[in-house]
Amino acid sequence: MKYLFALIFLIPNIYAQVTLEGKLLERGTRTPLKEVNVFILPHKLKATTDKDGKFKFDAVPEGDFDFIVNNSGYIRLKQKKNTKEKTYVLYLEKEFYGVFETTVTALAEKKDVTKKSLSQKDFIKAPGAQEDPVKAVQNLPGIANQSASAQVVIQGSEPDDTRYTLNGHEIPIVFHFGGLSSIIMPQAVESVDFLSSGYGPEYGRALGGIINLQTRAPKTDRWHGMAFVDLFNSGGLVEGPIDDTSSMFFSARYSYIGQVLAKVAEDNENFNLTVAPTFSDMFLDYHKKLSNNDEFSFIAVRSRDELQFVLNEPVNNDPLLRGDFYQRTEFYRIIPRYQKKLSETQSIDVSLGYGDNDVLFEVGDNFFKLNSTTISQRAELKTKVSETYTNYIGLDAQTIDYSVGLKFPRRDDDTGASTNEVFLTEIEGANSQNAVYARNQFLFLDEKLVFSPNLRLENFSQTEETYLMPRLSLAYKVDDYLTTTFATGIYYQAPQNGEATAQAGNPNLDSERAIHYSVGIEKDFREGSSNGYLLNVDLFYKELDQLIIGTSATDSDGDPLVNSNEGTGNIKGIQTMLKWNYDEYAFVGSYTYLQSLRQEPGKSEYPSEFDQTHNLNLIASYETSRWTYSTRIRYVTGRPFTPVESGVFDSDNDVYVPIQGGFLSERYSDFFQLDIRFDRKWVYDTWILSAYLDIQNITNNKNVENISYNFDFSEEVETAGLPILPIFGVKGEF
Amino acid sequence: MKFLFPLIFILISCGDDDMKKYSKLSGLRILAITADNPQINSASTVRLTPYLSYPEANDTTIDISFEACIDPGIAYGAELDCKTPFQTGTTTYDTTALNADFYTGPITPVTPLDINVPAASFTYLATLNSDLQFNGVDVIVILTFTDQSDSTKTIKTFKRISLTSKSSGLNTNPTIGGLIQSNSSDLTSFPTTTSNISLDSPSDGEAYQIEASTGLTNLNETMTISWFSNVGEFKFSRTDKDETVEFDPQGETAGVFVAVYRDNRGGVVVIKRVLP
Repeated sequence: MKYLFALIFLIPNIYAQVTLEGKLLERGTRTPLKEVNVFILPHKLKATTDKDGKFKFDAVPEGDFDFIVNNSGYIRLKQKKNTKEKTYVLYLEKEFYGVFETTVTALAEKKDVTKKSLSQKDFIKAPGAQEDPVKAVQNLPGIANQSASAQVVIQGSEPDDTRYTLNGHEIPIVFHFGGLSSIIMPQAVESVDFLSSGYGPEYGRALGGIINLQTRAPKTDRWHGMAFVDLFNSGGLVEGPIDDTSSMFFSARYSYIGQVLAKVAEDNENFNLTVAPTFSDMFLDYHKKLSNNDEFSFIAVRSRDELQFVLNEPVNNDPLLRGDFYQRTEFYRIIPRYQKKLSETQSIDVSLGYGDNDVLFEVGDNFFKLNSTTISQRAELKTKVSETYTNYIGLDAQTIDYSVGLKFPRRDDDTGASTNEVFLTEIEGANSQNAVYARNQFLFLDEKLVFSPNLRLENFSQTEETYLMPRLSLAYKVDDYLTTTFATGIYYQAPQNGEATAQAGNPNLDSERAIHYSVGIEKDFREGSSNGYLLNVDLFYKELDQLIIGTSATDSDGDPLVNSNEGTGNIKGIQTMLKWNYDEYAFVGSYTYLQSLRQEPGKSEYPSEFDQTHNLNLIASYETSRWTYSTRIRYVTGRPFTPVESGVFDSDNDVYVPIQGGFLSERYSDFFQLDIRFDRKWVYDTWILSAYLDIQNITNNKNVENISYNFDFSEEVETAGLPILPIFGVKGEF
Repeated sequence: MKFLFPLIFILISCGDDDMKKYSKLSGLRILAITADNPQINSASTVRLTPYLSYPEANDTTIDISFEACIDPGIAYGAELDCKTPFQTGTTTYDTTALNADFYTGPITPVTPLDINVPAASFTYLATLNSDLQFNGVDVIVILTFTDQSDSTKTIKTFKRISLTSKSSGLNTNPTIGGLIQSNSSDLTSFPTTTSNISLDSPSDGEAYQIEASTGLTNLNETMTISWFSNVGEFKFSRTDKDETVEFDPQGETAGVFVAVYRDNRGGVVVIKRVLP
């Protein structure tokens, strides 16, 4: 009897039940996982997570149990627990992790049929691009190799025919010193857009095309951070919600590339680095949701490059160009932006860009300095007039106040003879380029045909010109997997770099002009499958006229014109891109064939300096759960150049005057580079550690970028681009 | 602004130790050409004296040819060529005379290089605008030097003679007192250790005037020195007027030094020291 009493007394304890609560997060990123079933065994209990990843079990028998979570794309979780704990945080590990996991990108609206975009996940793991968005653009068809410079050459145009913008507002550069890195940390960039032949009315002032960096909104779910260090630079970022309606992103980066270069240069007696070159940048992005229909954002970016060394031997044998060398390029921009949904069919997007550019270049007592203040405005009103017609009306205006100071030796003066006179001038001025545009998007044939007749009207104050620039694009969807495109337009570009100033150029110059044509097809052979091919082929043709060229002609007063609008040219080519993926394997191949020709009075047609006939990029990658292996092969035809055959001694000025051979009659050797990259991730509950090894030019191929001559041009040496360059980096993110 | 980046790349790549150095004398070179009157205001004869350096000359003979004409506009990109020369000629120079001086020094060809600037050149000058007449135009003399024993050793150079309507204040050649070692003593012995070398009493740049678009403008000549030696190494190949230059003998004990002192209007003087 006494045993029975004891048994009755114990029964409540055996069957005691407790309530357990918890949160299910993705391992490493701490992203809440919603609508995932969490099981408790052996009690066969089930709970489903809510939008915050929270789950709750109300009646769990006390004692040991197992949490079990099975979710597609994640490694099965089984954890032994005890009901002594009442709250839990479970971390579910993904099978595959992307390169930068704390970022989510959104697809931007694609208005231009010829626009190519690289999203963050595309450019961050591109081999050879060092996670850089703009360097990764080199993998796209139509982009030529400019590995040693900070310029992007689009479809055989001149480097100055490419315009760089940040969220649509012009910035002076996109690369730091020598093209090593773009001016914003990759994690701040949502996509990099490449607009080539036939681009739309929203942009102008560029005969070649546009490279636009589109930044992303800061994350709002929680605070995130990242820090990295590699051979060239280190930096970090933080982002997260400030309150329920606002969030911010801040990143900063500093490069010690100078110390690396100094090490390389320490045995070179003619090139002493007294102060290492450096670059740095900062980026701030603030977003505030004012209501469900409107949002305010504010971007601030600052970039600075600095280089100083002592040049013992004169540059190009010019007696005045030696001594201390100092170069600085610095700019900042602030871009406030307001977006409002006016109604179900109408929205407006207004932004302002303000900032300074500061460039200083000194050699000894000589200098070039440029200070300018830029104010730019963009506004666009989008109206969905009907189900088949959408209209965009916009403003793209820019005003620049500039001051240029120049002191350099020159070999002309009022006598018309070569002398050692110093050219010293100060130029101040302002010019504006104000445009309005209209894009009309009509959908016909059950929305299979997108027809966009567009217009851009622009005034160039510098040349006192106003142009109406019609632009047209068509996209026809033959079926769900085949689309054909056509685009054409007229483009004007004002004189640059003082070409139209009275002091250094010809004030009567007009803007240069181009007419673009582009025809393309895009075929998706995957037809709904996740594996397969995607093919893109574009034919392009550009007619160029009113090009600014140097001239020895004089005006009616006998004064030299310096330059004129007598240049013409054309660029034609075909660019293709083939993407293929099969499970963990991926391949991207792009090939461009082009011919870029120019003509001047008195000269027969000649290839432009950026006529690079063949341009091939092959990228392949293989991913496992924690490893990514990728490789890139690049082959580009060498650029034409004018050789120097000998030198004649100018005994009065103590310099050798180069005697040039045939104009652009020779080419540098073809460019070839093989890069490989290894990425490895270690995923912990609350953070992720990544390491990568990026080896550029693994075959150590000598790619000639320039030919240097000795003082009398009797000897020459080929200057190669980057040698084999292994870059090791580590990154932690939470 | 974008052009700065490639320029930096070129600057970084410009130092190549394997290439011939400007200040190191070797091969057939002309270091300077002096004119007894670098600027003239009437038809007259101007005598040119080339300053030759050819350490490997080995008592050879140099063929010299020349042609003279009005500057076709070299500064504006015109080709260096005398299409209608008012004077041409040939002569020779036997380098034996310079044997003891490492074949470096002023040369006097068999036929002196006397350029007879004709009255027609001044007639042409008179047809130009008054400012151009005042500022002047140049006669250029293009000279070619070729080693008789090896015709691949040939060099081309040119010298300007300035023609002006100015009645006074014509340009003259600068002057030098000598060479100084370590800011104090005459350079009379070969420096066996790294030393600072400078010019002794270099003349100041002359004041002159040009007719600019803003009116008559006063200017001063800019003076530069070029340094040469057949051994050792100068830190800088060119310096300003009062600047010293560091010379490293690199273990050598004998050699020739040359300094060329120029104004920016064609005036030039040369000094040479053969040491020890």
